[in-house]
Amino acid sequence: MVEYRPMTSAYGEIIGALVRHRGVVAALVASERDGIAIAAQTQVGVECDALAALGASLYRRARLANLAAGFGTTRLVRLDAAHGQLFIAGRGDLVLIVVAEGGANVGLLRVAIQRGSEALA
Amino acid sequence: MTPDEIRRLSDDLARDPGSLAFIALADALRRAGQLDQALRVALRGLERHAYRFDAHDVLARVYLDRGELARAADEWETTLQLSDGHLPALKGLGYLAYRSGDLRRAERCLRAASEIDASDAGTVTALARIRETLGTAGSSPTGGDGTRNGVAPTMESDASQRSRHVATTPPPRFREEVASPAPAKDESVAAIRGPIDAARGRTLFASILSGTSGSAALLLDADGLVLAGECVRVDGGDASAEVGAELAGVSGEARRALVHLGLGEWRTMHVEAEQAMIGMASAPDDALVLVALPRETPAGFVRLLLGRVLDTGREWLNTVR
Repeated sequence: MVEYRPMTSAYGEIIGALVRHRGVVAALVASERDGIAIAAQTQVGVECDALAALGASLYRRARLANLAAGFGTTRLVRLDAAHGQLFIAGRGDLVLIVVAEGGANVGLLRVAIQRGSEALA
Repeated sequence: MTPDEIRRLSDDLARDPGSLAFIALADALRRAGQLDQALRVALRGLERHAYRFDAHDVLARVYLDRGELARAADEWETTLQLSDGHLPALKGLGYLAYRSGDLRRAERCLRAASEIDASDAGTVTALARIRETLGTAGSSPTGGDGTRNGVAPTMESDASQRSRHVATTPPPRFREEVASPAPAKDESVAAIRGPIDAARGRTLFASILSGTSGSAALLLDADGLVLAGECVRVDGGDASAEVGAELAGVSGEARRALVHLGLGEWRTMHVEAEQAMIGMASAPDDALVLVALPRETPAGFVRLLLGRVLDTGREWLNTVR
């Protein structure tokens, strides 16, 4: 069962394309600055607001650390866990966050997420 | 535990996956030598019950039996955070410290354990032995005579005495290990023992990264302070402290995020940046290891070096604590 949040058409296509991937249980766009979800599509049981806040925070930390180290802009953050992955990609003030359970094609998903982040305004 | 009892516990858990039956089942599987299954059951159960101290205790024992000593120590540390003065956790950490040659830490842990349960002969004897080795035999609160009868501190919890955290006889392997601690085989561990060499900390990962230009590795504590390693920018400036400051608390945050999402234990974080591939992994006490390599480095190689940096960082932490 999938839970929908009202989505602007600008992000609906991006998110819709990602949730069609096998294993994806949540995809959302959030503000990196304050971690507030802007648009989301998640399975029931995934707390959208908490995911947005945690994902934005992790991405921001990685981005600032990379700048401090002279590694340039941050393209993608991937958190590997025992039963799935959390992907976070950013562009400007926005982050695209995707949660995938085991069985997802990580390679395909990675490419799809990078394309999705490039489409963020 | 008989196969029938394991089956019964499995049935109980299948009927109610959210129950605490996973704790007894994981321990039963461990005792039966089915360590892979024990690990799966314990980790799955902890996804629902992340704050159960007894679950973390069982997971620590599973890791111990699997030879994953650093993870066993992490779980016993977590057990103590959730249940201050947890006797088996204190004994477990004491044993691990003893095994790694950190006698002072072993003495602290077993002293705390003996203060909770002074009647535990195994702990008292082991403590006296450690103190004798350290040259502090006279400070034993129980007046132990430091006999070398090889009796180990006990670790297993008897079901009827769990409320007092009193332990029963441990498996023979553990008993044997404490009676005859393994000598330090790793030269790096033996070389570091004694006064802490801060300069060595800075170059701790140099041998792992040698031959890989544009690379960096750091070991950061939970507050983002640099423990070992260095990260030097292209312009020659030292960015270690700045990077650490930005990553302070990341390990704990990543763990909370994944537990919240029900994805299980955190393993690694990979970051793709414009000019680098960065790998991060959790170390004991919410510390963090980081390795950064040039952008074109294959992801598998990043993971390989991250594993080596993590192992080296853990060993080093065990010796300097």
